[in-house]
Parts: sequence; structure tokens; C-alpha cells
Amino acid sequence: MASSSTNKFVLKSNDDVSFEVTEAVAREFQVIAHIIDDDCAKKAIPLSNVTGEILSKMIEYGKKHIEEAPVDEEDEEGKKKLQIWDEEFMKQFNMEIVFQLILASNYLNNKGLLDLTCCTVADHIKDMTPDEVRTLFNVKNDYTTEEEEEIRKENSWAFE
Amino acid sequence: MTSDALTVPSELESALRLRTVQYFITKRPWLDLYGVHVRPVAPFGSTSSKPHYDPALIHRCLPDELLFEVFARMLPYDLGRAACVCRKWRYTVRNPVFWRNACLKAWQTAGVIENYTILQSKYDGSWRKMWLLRSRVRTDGLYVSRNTYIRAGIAEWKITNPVHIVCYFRYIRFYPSGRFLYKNSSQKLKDVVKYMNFKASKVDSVYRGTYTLSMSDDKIEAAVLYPGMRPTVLRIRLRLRGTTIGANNRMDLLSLVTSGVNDEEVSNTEEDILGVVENWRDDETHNPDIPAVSHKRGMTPFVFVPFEEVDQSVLNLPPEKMDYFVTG
Repeated sequence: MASSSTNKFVLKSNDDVSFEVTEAVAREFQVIAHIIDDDCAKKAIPLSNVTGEILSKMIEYGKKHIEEAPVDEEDEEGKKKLQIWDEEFMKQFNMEIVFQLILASNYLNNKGLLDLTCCTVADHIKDMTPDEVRTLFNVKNDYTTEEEEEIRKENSWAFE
Repeated sequence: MTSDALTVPSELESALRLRTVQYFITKRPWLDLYGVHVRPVAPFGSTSSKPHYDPALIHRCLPDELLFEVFARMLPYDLGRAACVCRKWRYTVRNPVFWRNACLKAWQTAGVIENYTILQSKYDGSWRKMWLLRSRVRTDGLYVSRNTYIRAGIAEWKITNPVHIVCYFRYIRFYPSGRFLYKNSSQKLKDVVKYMNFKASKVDSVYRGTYTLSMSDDKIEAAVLYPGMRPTVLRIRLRLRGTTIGANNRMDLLSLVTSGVNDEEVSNTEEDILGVVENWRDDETHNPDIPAVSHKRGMTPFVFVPFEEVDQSVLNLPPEKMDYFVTG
């Protein structure tokens, strides 16, 4: 494994876009790490559930987290820097891309990105009234008037 | 426990008898359907070949387990509101995992085993029920007690003297770990919240203390140490309540006692001042120069303000705009 920093792997999206990445970046994604360990990564690794657009973003995230990884647990400054980058990184996406990223990071098993993307959606939901959430996510209110009254009463503690 | 064991069977017995009687009297034609599979009738014009289209992108993109992952990153109060959005969300939020995590965090000082015992004995094994019904301190904001008094002013060469309304606040911020911060000040809520944390500097006059919430009811015992030349301990007794079930957004101030502590106690109590004064009598003091005083003024109930509402809270208004303020 001495050459792990120079080893290159090719990831191929479902719309036939190929990305060449270093082993360290490839290993950011658990599933790909397993493929490498099982020695099945001789040719391009096909990722049938991820589009090129999403995959390029995920690789950008993976690269950044390899390059700028905090030195150790104590490295508060490094953590902070990465956190700010994460926030900026997420700002560029619309909701649909965010959902795709959630799906893809779950599929490729990258805990950090799954956490980041889910938190982004959670941040949109919190501190909002149910009506605002429905408008934002285009969720249909399928409660009857009586049901809605009942459930509002049941959860009135959350509105205090 | 023994009395419970005796009463339950008799209740059960009468209930059973009642049901038998009903069986003979009431006709129950729906029992004919027992074992018959009934399918809901499709609305007119709909065909099963047409797949259901959900207008919500989030539902089309994310399978249920990933909606769960999103919800897992929200606070219980956000979950309570999210449940009101639609049936699917309500169903997802019902997952006991959320409520178990919330409960174990909220009552972490009681310990996991104790929490499981209470869950079984009092809340029928439902974490959600425990979350709603068992008293807990809120840690996502500040409790504020707003107090006023009238001070006579002096004006020269006037027949009438002006009076001033003086307004001050008691602020409490609880942490799940069993520690809390206390501040007594005339400063406004939106200013105080900025430094009401463990990084506060000495000039902010934020005092640290420890508290315990009674296992069986809603009483809180808390103590704060004022260090300095004449170290003084402030013992606070509170009772939690809420404007609705599960809100825990009010606290009555039951008693407020200051008394002296000796130097040895001060040096031993960096962390747990409550442990030192736990068994003291109300009038007990350990420094003859500082007699125990039970305070009777400034006992207005505490109102809870979550962090996100701190800036808009009416508690920031000046006294002349607040003559209607009642805590409820």
C-alpha cells in the first residue's frame, strides 16, 4: 500500500462520465473502498445509481476532505475551516440536487456527506410552521380538517 | 405496588362481565365480515394502472429510510411540528427511536437504567409518552423571570415626586449534564443570550451552578455559588409546569435562599455546589457574618424563551410598553 497516494482509479457514472481519482479520494466512499479491497477495481468502477453531475460534486467533496483533513482531534481551527467550506459547498445546490446527493452518499456510503446533506434539509424544515414547510417542499396536506385539529392539539407542546 | 396488584384484577373482572352482557344484548352484524378481506373502493374514474404521483419532490426522491435520516438530525420540537405537515411525516416521526434518543438526552443525569425503569413503570414502555408527560427542563433556550418594583425618585422644587419603575430579570440556562447558568440583571434578553454560556467572562456576572430534577415529580433543586470575599450560596427551588402538556415552558419560583459558606467548602465545590448544601435547613449558614436570608421579592414565575425567538420576545420591550405582561 506504499503507493496508495499515487494509485489512480476511474469512477464511471450511469451517464458514462468517467472521473479519475486518487486512491485516497476513492476510499472516502466506503463502497468503493470495498471494491478496491476486493481487487475488483482494475477497470473503471461503474456506479449505476449516480449521474455524472452528482458524482463530480461528490468527488469535489471527497477531495477537499482529504486535502484539508484536520491534523488531529484537537485541531479546532482545521475543523472550523472545513465546516465553513461545507456550508459554502451546500449553498450552491437547489433542493433536487441536495436530495440526489443524499441518495448518492447513502448509496456510496459516505457518512460525512450524508450527515451534511441531511442536516441541510433538516435546517430547512426546523423553525418553520407546518404551512411554510408544505409550501417549501410542495407537500400536500392530506389531513382532514378534524384530523389536522387533532394532531395540532397532540403536538401543541412543540409550538410553545 | 401491592395495592396496584390488588385493584387491577377486580377492575378487569367487572370489565369482562360487562362485555359478556353486551354480547347478549347488542347485535353485531359487522362480525359477519370477520375473516373476509375488504378492499377499499377506488374513487370513480381512477385506474390502478396509473401510478400515484406525489407532488412533493422530497417524497419522490427520498425513500422512507432517508426521510428518517433527515428527521434524525432535528430536535424533538422540530419533529413535533413536522408531524403536523402530512400523514407520511407523522408516521415517520412516530418512530420510537427519535423519542428514545430525546428522552435519554433530556434525563441523562438519571442514567439509562433508571430511565428504562421509569419508562416501564409509568409510561407503558412508550418513549413518546414519557417525553410528553414526564417533567423535564428545556435546554434549547433561556428561562426568564421578569420582576419590577417601584422606586420613589427625588425632584427638587416640585410638589409631587416622580416614581420610577425598575425592571430586572433572573435568567437561567440549563444544560442536560446537570449544570446551569444563572444571571440576575436589568439587561435585556437579546443581549444577555449572547454571552449566557460557559465561555462567559467574569465581567458578564454569569454564575455557574448545579441542579437536580426530582425523579418522581416536577421539583428542581438548584444552587449557585457567588465567589468573592464573602462567598455566598444561592439555593433555588423551582417547580416546572407548562401552558400545555409537554411544554415545560414555565417555572414557579418556590424559594430563594442566600447563605454563607465557609472557605473550606468553597475550595471543595468547584463543580458540585448543590452536593454541599443538599441537606441544609432553610435557615442554615456556615458563615456567621452572612445569615441565611429567604428572599420574598422578585419571585415572578419563569417563562421559557427558545433561542430562535429570543430577538422577537416581548421581554425585550421597555417597562412602559409591558404593563400588560402576565406569565400565564
